[in-house]
Amino acid sequence: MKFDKETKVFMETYDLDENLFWDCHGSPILLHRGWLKVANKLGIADYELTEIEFNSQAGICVIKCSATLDGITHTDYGESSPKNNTNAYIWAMAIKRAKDRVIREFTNVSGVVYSDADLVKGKDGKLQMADKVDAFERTTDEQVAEAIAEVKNIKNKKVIKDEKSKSKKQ
Amino acid sequence: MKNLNLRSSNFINYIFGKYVSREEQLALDLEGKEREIEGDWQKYIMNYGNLHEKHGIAEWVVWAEEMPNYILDKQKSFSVPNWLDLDQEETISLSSTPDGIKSDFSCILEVKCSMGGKSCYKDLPKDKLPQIYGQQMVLNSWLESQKNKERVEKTHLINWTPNHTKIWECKRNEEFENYLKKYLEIYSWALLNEKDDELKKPIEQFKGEIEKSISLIYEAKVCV
Repeated sequence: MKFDKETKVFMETYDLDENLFWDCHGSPILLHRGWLKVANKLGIADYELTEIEFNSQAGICVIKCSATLDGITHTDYGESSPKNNTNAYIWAMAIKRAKDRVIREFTNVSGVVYSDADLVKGKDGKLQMADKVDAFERTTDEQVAEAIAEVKNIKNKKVIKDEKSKSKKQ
Repeated sequence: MKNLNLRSSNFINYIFGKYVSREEQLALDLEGKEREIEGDWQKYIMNYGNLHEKHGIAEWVVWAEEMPNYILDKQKSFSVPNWLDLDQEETISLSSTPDGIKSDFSCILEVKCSMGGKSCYKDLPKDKLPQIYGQQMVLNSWLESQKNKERVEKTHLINWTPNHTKIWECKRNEEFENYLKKYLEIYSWALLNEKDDELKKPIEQFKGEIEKSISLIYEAKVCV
């Protein structure tokens, strides 16, 4: 895996070795235990966790997480739903994602180093960065419904030939 | 590693050498390489097509009043292994990934967002026919191999642009399929034998009638 300059500095600062990363199509993904190591090095000891939404039947859990360090507080959210999670432990996944994101806020490497909280399955079933596959997070039916609405919204598109309707009338 | 799979979207090159000569295509396949898309305009057209394929499908859904299968992220690649039915280790497969298929398999959907959405085709371009009829051929061979009695009877080519949409119906034409098969077989043997001698020979024109199998069945236009 290749690391850019910014990532190398980040690795040196927090004493992270390559084994704590994996390569997702060229983007370095730091594993959860790597983020916890960063938190330890920074001195983040406490997290304030708040349940925002929980629906066990629908498999949805949203957790708000805050942490304070040297008087600075960062807050972020972790969510798990059937659209972004195949893990049965939705609470644990939402907490893990929320924590990873908050820790990252303290490191200033957003958009450079990712957490596996940022991954979703793309069109081909492979894991990809969530911010690059927004179109595929929705189901096929949702995509078609949206496209139908957009097609119908194109004003003044008039049918000028329709053999199907003609044969229906006959 | 040699590419021993022939995709219907590339039949135009295997058979007619349209965008890359048949000899060059063979050299690429023997090296297991893909032809690179060159030029910003070509890349733009490809991206535009990928982005608006869903709108072509949507316009068909509104018109046909039914939902097709194997669309968007559920597209499926249908593959026919060893299409020449050879009794040897190295064989050639054919494959096809249509943009959608009617639930009873009777009709394939293929979306083309022509000219980057600027305008529709005046007539159905003949260079789309190897892909259209190749898809029908591959799908029907696949259905047969699955002991499925359903058969593809036609393709709806949806030519989608925001201001103008046309749907052409391309009914099966076995004479044209046989014509394609003849040249696909020549290409397949060239690939197996790693020799391009046969590909240097001129290609005969199709002598049958294809026009009567194709008709424009739907057209909608923004009227200002």
